Amino acid sequence: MAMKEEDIMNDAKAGEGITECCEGNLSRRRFIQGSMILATSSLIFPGLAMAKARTDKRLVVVILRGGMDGLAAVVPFGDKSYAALRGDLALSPDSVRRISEMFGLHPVFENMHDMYQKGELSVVHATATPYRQRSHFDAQNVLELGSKAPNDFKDGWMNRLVRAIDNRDNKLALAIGQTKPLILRGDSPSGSWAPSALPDTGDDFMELVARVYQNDPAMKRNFNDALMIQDQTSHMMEGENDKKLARQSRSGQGFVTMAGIAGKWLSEPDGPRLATLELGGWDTHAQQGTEGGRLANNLSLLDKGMGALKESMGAAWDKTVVIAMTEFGRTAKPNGDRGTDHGTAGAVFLAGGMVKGGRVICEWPGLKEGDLYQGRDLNPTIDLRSITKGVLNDLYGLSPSTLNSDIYPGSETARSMTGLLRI
Amino acid sequence: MTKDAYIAANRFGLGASASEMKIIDRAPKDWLRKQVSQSTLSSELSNISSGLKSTVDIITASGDLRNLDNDAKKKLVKQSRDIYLQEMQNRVTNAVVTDAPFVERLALFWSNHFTVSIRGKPFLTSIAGSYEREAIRPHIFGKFSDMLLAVVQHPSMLTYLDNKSSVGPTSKLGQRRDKGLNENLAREILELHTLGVNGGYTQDDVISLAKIITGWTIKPPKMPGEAGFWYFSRMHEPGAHRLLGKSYSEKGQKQGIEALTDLAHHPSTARFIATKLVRHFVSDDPPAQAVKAIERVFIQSGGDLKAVSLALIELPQIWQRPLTKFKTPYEFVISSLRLFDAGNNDVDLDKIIKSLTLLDHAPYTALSPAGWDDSEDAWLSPNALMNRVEWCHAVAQSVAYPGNPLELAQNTIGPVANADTLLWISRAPSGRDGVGLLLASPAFQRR
Repeated sequence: MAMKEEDIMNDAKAGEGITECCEGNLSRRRFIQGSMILATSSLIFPGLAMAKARTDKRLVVVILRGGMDGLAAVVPFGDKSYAALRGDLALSPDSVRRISEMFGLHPVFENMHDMYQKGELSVVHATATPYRQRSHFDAQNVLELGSKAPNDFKDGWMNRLVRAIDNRDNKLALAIGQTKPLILRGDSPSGSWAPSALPDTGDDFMELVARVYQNDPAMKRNFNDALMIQDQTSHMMEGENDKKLARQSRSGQGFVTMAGIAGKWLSEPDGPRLATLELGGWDTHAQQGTEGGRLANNLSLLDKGMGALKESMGAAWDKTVVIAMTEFGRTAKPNGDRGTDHGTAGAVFLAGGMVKGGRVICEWPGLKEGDLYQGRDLNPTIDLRSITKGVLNDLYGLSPSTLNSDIYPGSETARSMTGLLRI
Repeated sequence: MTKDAYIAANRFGLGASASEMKIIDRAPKDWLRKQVSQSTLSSELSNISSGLKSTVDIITASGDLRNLDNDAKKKLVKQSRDIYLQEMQNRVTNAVVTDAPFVERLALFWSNHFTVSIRGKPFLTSIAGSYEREAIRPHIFGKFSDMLLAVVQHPSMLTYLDNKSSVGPTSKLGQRRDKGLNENLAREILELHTLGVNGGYTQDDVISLAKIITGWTIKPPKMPGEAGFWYFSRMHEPGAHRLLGKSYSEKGQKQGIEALTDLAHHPSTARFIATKLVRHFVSDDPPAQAVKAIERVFIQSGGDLKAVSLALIELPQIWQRPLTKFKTPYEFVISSLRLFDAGNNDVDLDKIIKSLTLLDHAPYTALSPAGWDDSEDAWLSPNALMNRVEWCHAVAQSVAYPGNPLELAQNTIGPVANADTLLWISRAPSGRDGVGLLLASPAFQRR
């Protein structure tokens, strides 16, 4: 394919503004740099002229993938049917961290128990999305879209939230992780970040790449977002060993590392205000354990991650809400393998200085045979969207009608909960 | 160089070097058809130095896991890790050097369709590679029902989705001990392997299928006979079970074989598989006409995957619009090595395995039984793209210098690259940067 002479001429013109002051012969390399800086800077920092004051509220959504067993995380030991129903998987009332006559947190929840006692953590129990089948993938789709049914919308609910808060602020939302979860995907800007173990690439090369991506809208947008995030985070990452972080982030304790980094960035004045974290490993079909074991290890990871997040956020914790949620709960009865199968209702955690905590919020459905959903699962009594709507209403002043039209269309029946946060 | 050659090499294959592109260019469709008709299992894949090639060998050598002291455990973990690394290295080497990259793409597709993952299942580390070689690859051009049966009877799948410990509640073992059903595998067979989530099954069907395949387990080391799959009648839930409106009478293991064979031939399965294939080879939004065409072949041939694979070659939609798919990291890394015509000895396998891990696509590490997502949305994020760009730059600095980058680009991605890409490759401050830019370019990142 022949090169087009007019492209080269256009580039020459684009570079004029910067290069005219330089003397003598311009090397080709200098020329490219000059034109590139001009061409890409306006693309990389479209938000420079942003006038609106940024919100100082922080919202972190932790997606627990695989279906967390809510009855193991927040144990209803006070329900008379609990011990018999759970059989081998029942935790003794003495082993749990009691928070009321009815409920206890799992014994590994050290940090979260501390938050609860300080009034910074609430549990909403017996809650579920409107999805009533048992596919992980459809259930996560509904959780992240904020929809009634799978694939109802193209974009995730946090992406729509970005649009409602400030669509021009491309530093507003950041996914901490290797990929961007569905909850953040859509037309509004958001970034994604994970520590990189690859050597740094010089600016020259980056500028060439930006050039080559000009005609590929999706790659152009993601690349510009990535450059913007690098620019934004470079001073925060000073003194950190990227390679070491990259290794840690992929280890068994990776969630704790990532949560710590998330907190650090969220605490920065020009850092993100919305962030997502993800933790998998909840699909405990076999040998899930009780006080210890596979599920306890994962719950401990969640607890340590929450602790790391709080610690690294410092004073910004007071302006923060963390929502930790999963796609569905698990069967109330153990299956034949000392595990649990895909169920319906489960527990959601709300944490952070903004949370009016120290409470278990629920309309407890009971655990008697007849109380269970389809005779097998904890019965959902609260629509999960009622919780997130309540948080968004309190945190951003988004009215119920705005929430119904812009963030969760078709959610009128899931009334916004009130009084979840301190405002 | 024609667009058709690019499409054959990239949309069906795993990329090609400039010299291979010339060969493909002579007759792109014939080049693909020949791969289907002459397919043999590659010898690269079973080159295992420990001699433990089959799942049966590996499980036998592991012995009784319950009676291991700490030293023995450590030794076993290391041995498993070694086998895993070697399996990955063989798989990568084969993908880089194979003359039949379309076959390799199909292997990747089916292996992903029937995902097993070592995440959270350390026992699988040593037998994830052999699973792919034994349950997937032999059936790529065979019957879908045979692949399904091989998968569901493989120790790796029985472990990954917990069926090995699922006990019929009224079976002999179920009555004697406090043991019961584990519905994990049954659900994923219906949802992910055959009918699809909207394929028309209910929770009752999940439970029925779970009962039907109780007793499909792995032979305990204490029992006599060969290690591996074992049908244990004392675990099997007795009686007839109703699945999708049809009653399957008690026939022991045969009950499950009949049920799975019916599922493999179900119209919903044909639709589901056709949709996934078209999404993989054509675009994230599979065109309805293409899906219908593949679905028809699947049904008419009774799930003959050779006929289905040949039908893919004839789909006009694949040949019309290239660059609709964003390569997975695995496809991207392999195609980079193929671009440089890397031979058996040129590939630093350690580095490649590390690269795949860095780009989050190491073999057999999918996050869920649904496998890796097959859409641009899942792979193209700011962070993932930046990782790729950095990788392109690093690799371009380290490869044997491949000559004039513009020429290389013209002879490989030339027919589909836009003018900007070629212009800036030609202007890159160094040949290596030019090569890096070629790798990072949309025409190379996509297919």
